[in-house]
Amino acid sequence: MFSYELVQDGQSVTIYFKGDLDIEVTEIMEEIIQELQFFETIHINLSEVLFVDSTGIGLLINLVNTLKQENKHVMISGTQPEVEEVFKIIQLKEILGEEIFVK
Amino acid sequence: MGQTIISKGRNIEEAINIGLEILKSTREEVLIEIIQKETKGILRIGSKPAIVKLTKTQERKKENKEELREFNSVHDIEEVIKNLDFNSHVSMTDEKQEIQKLCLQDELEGKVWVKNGKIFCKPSPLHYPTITVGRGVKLFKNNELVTGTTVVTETDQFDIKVEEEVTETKWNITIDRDKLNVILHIEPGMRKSFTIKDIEPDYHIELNAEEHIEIRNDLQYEQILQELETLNVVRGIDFNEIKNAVNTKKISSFIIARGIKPKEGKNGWIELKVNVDIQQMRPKLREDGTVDFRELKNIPTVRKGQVIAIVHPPVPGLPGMTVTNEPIPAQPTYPVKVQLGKGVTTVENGTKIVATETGRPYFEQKGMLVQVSIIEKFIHQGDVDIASGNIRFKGDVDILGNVEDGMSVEADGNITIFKNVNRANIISKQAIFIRQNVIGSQISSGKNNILISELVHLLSIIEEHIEKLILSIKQLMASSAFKVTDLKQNGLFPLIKLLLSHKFRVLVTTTKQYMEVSKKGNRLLEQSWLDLSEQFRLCFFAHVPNEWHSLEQLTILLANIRELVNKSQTEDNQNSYVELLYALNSTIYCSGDVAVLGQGCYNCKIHAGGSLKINGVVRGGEVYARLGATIKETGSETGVLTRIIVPSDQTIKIELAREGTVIQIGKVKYTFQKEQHFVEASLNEKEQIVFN
Repeated sequence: MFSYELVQDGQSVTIYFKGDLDIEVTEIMEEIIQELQFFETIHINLSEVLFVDSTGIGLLINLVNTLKQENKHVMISGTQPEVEEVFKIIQLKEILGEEIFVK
Repeated sequence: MGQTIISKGRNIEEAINIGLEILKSTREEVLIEIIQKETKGILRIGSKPAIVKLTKTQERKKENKEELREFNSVHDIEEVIKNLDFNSHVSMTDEKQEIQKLCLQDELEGKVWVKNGKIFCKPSPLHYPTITVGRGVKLFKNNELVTGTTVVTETDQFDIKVEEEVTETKWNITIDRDKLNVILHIEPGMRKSFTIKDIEPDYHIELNAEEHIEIRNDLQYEQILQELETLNVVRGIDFNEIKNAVNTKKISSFIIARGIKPKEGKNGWIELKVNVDIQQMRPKLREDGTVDFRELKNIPTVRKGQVIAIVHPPVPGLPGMTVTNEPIPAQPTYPVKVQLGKGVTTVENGTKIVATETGRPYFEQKGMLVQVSIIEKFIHQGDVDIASGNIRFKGDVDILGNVEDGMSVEADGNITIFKNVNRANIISKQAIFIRQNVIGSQISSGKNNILISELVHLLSIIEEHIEKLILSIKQLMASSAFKVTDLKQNGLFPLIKLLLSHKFRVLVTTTKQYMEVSKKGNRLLEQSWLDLSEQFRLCFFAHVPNEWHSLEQLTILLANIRELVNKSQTEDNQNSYVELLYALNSTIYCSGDVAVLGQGCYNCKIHAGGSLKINGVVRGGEVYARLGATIKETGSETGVLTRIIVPSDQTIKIELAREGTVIQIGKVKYTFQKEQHFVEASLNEKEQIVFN
């Protein structure tokens, strides 16, 4: 099952995604977008995401683009090497922008 | 007899013991002869050593023993006395010889040698000679086969065996597939023997044998005849060759019987009595390279009743005969099949084709099928304009004036325009000749048209990217972290969307372009082009998942694209040809060759399904030539972008390439930064452009 955890630090927040980022996450993602409205800087930590599917990646793209439209600072970190491989094939870095991905 | 050694000692006992030590034998195994008894200065000659001769006799061990015992006990004293006697009678010269012999023996010490095919040796206590076994020799040491190098002691028993190789004469007789040749292959047998040479004494010798080869061809004449009989070969036997085969000393093949080849006939053919070749219809070039249109006699015509062609019947071949006396039928020959079109008929049992109307003869041959017809000609006096209306005609069309603004001329045959074409459309299924200039017009020659060439170009890009798309999808499916949970519900829809969002953006733009172009020309296109457009829409632009979102369907889509591209490219281009003097801001499409004979073309788009020849300049625009391009001058001093494109296996020849010229061979591009003369560019094996 997918879950997430928010660790707040003033205006910035780190959201830990836990579990597979797949089609099941669709509804939870709505909730996440709502929750993240209140922060200016958002770190998305994917270190506990071991599997993704195309819908899941679509949701992630949607999340980042929505937040960026509201002029928020978004960063993605902790991507697992296997997931990184998938991102590479899809050229996710080029879609979202190189600067979003941090170590 | 076994080995014999002579040994010395201070007394007889010691001499015997030393000897036995060397021979590695016991007293029972040897025969002892006392050659000299030791002297302890009794005869005042000084002391002399005792010398004994020991002979190894293995086989007669028992006897030896008895003998020895006898010798030791009964004859002991007698012998000693005898020897003493003998010694006392030995003269000084004898003694010297004895010493010499001993010296010689010293020289031989530690050495081994071969004489008369036998091994002799004389090991010394500190050195044992060695033997290496070489080629063609088998050495047995004490009945054991020696390989490599062995140490020789005097107790060893050696047996040398030389090898002998005998190969039989090998031969076989084969009949080739057509039963026309009987081939005898023979490999004469041979006897390879070896002899052992004498070898001088040395510490180490290599035991080699000398090789003798004797070739023996024991194939008999009768054997061959017998074999031929069993193979049922009765015809064309070459007895001389059989003799040669029997006498040969080399590996060789002989054709010992030959059948008779069938003599091939000839298919029926058409002998043309009039000139129909379009290549010869071009205007004459003067020596200085300009064109003389007044000397133009480019359109062959036939009058009513004129013989166009003679139909020759097939000539049957003559049957042959196999070596087994079976007839070989000649290849059957076929007559040409004549399809008579308009304005022609046959006479004299269909052997002659005669025109019944006056016009241009049309002739096309595909395999054995020949199409002949007379193409009618329509001659339009004056200009094509609003007053005359557009011209559409099934045969050839000659326009003696201009084709004006917005007008069009379409014909199934050749179109010849004696003056200019201004912002008009000229479409012919065959050749187009324009004697003067083409400005802002569309020219299309051949069964395809500009539209199709553009679509094919787009499809080639789309094809390439769909191929890559399929690869990427497969790659993702193979990734360990990629889940296919949504595949059942949505197919590849979300995945394709993802991939199109960045990686395959080109696919989005190109398919969109294809859809637009095919929509614009939907009246002129066959259904299959439009179907493909719909498939692209469903696959790449749908907002909900559909049946096209699967790997299988993508593969089908790819196959559809390829089929359509292939089909359009195989359409024949033998009768299409475009020739003009000068073109400006025009589009010229031709499935065959294109020739621009005058000043050149400015800012034009040219597609030549054959070769492209421009005697003037190409300034601006883009030209494509499927079978290579030859151009006098390209680009301009101001660096106007001018593209020359040919496929990867073709060459581009430019006499003067100016700045702004871009040549593209296959996918490789090269841009000229400065003027260059006599350019001849092609691709090398590494896909790089090279200039010769």
